[in-house]
Order: sequence, then C-alpha cells, then structure tokens
Amino acid sequence: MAFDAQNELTDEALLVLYGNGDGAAARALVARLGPVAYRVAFRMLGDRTEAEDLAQEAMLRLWKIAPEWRTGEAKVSTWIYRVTTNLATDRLRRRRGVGLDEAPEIADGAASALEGLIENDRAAALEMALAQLPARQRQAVVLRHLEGLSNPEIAEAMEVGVEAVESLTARGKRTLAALLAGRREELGYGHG
Amino acid sequence: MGMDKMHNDNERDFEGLEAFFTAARDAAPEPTPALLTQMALQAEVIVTERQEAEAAALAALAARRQAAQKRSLGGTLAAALGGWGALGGMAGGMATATVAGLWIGLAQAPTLMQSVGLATVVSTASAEDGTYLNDADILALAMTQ
Repeated sequence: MAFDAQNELTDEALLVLYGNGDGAAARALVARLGPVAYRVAFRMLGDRTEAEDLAQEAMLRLWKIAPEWRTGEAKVSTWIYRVTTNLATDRLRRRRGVGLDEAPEIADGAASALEGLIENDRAAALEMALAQLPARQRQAVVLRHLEGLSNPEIAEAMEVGVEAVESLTARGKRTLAALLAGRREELGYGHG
Repeated sequence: MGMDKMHNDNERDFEGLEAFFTAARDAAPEPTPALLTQMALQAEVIVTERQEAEAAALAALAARRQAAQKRSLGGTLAAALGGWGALGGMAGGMATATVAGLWIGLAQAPTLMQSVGLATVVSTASAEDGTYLNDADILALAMTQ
C-alpha cells in the first residue's frame, strides 16, 4: 500500500494490515508509535540506552499481539503507553527495590545536581526531579503533563480509576513543586 | 492552614511547574533513525517467523490429511472387499438355495405326477428305497382303475 494511503489509516487499521503480513503497515506504525514509545521510556527511565531497549521491547510486543488484536476495544496508542510505562515501572522497581508508590530518598548528589542546573536547562531540571518520584506518580505526571493524555486515557493506560490518576498526578506534582521550588525562585519563576 | 490557603499554595506551585513541563515538552527526546529502523526490522522478522510457522503448520496439516486419506483409502478398499465377499457369500447362498430348490422340485415331482395320474412317465430311478411305486405297482394300479 502506498505511504500516502497509509497516512489516512488509523493505527488500528495499520495494525490489522500488519497482522495480515503487510510490512509497509509496520513501517508506518513505527513512524507513528516508535517515537512515542521511546519518548515515554526515556522520560520514565532517564537513560537513552535503557529507553531504546525498552521502546524496542514495547514495539516487539505490539508486533506479536497484532494477529490477535481485537478491534474497537482500545486505541493502539493507549496500548503503547500502557506497555511502555508498565515496562518502565518494572525496571524502576527492580532498580530501586522499593514499592511502586513508595517515595525513594533523594540522594544528596541528585539534589545538588538539580540545584546546579543552569537557567536554560529547565527540561533537564524537570527530568532530574521526575527521577525522584515514585514510579506510579512519575507515570501519571509524564502521561498527563508531557504526553498530554486526558485523565480517562491515563486511567486506561495505567489500568486504574480516574480518581487514582488524579491523586497520583497531584501527589507527583506536589513533590515536583517542592523539588523545584528553590530552583524556580533562582530562575525567576517565583510565586509572583 | 485553611483549605483555601492550601489550595492556593498548591495552585501557585503547579503554575510554576507548567514552565518546566513546557520546557520538557519542547525538548522532547527523539529516537535515532537507527532505533526506528531496528523496530521496523523486528516487525519484518516477526512477520517472517509467523509466516514460516503458519507454512509449517499447514504442511503438517496437509501431511496429516494425506496420512488420513491413505488410511481411509485402505479402509475403503477393505470395505469394498468385504462387500464383495458378502456379495459372494450371498451369491453362494443363492446358489445353494437354487440347488436346494431344484432338488426339492425334483424330489417332489414323482409324487405330484402320481397324484395326477401321470405315473407312467415318472422315473423309477428312486424306487429302490421303497418310497415310490415300481413299474409293477403302477401297472397294477392302472388295471384296478
């Protein structure tokens, strides 16, 4: 199928085509969802190599479930968000050896590195602050505020209720605000 | 601290956060072309593996069907042979019955002929056993009548 024609197809239609052996459909899905998987993986893990590995794993799972994909039940993008963030959460849990909602202690090195970020590196400051959040809070904040998903979409991706999403997001933002408070004032983003 | 003040504090904190979120969105990490290529290659590998597995499964199914057909052909032949055997048996039975009927017919014929007065043309071949009338008896009977 021509690439232009594929642009008009939904992710789900492309996945069904791929499930039937259409390699071009897979390439179109990679163009759409590969960056999503990588971006979310990186934002969750904060490490390029690990993010690449995890994004590949998420896409590999998509290829494998393609023939059994049940149309009309979930958006493919939501599925990718779910699988990627769940894989990332598992890695974070193994890495830290703590519960999903248990806040890790912030290492002195991380705190000083955060303080040391330069003014034009707010993205890096947030990335470092995000790394201090418990995995589930980080997942909710990344999906809501960096990926722009709605709370119901996040609820579906995280397989929890909307209220739980709101709670996780609020707690995550509160922690981020505390972590970045001094930095904001330093950078001129004070309470104004 | 009252609820309103707490709410306002949170709102102020979150408003400040938005600048960080915006910066992070603007600096969204992009995958390398090599990573995307690798993802597409994985997709091709999975498709190829699936197609090979399907082809192998189809071949195995075809082999099983062929084997079943062979067994079925053997069974058909055996059934056919059994059928002919049965027919043979039936033919044999029919032949036996025919012979038996012929024998019965022949055996009954002299008596029947006697009863209708045609004894003169009846064979006397079996008269020795005494069951049937011999020539002298027949002649005597005819004279009495």
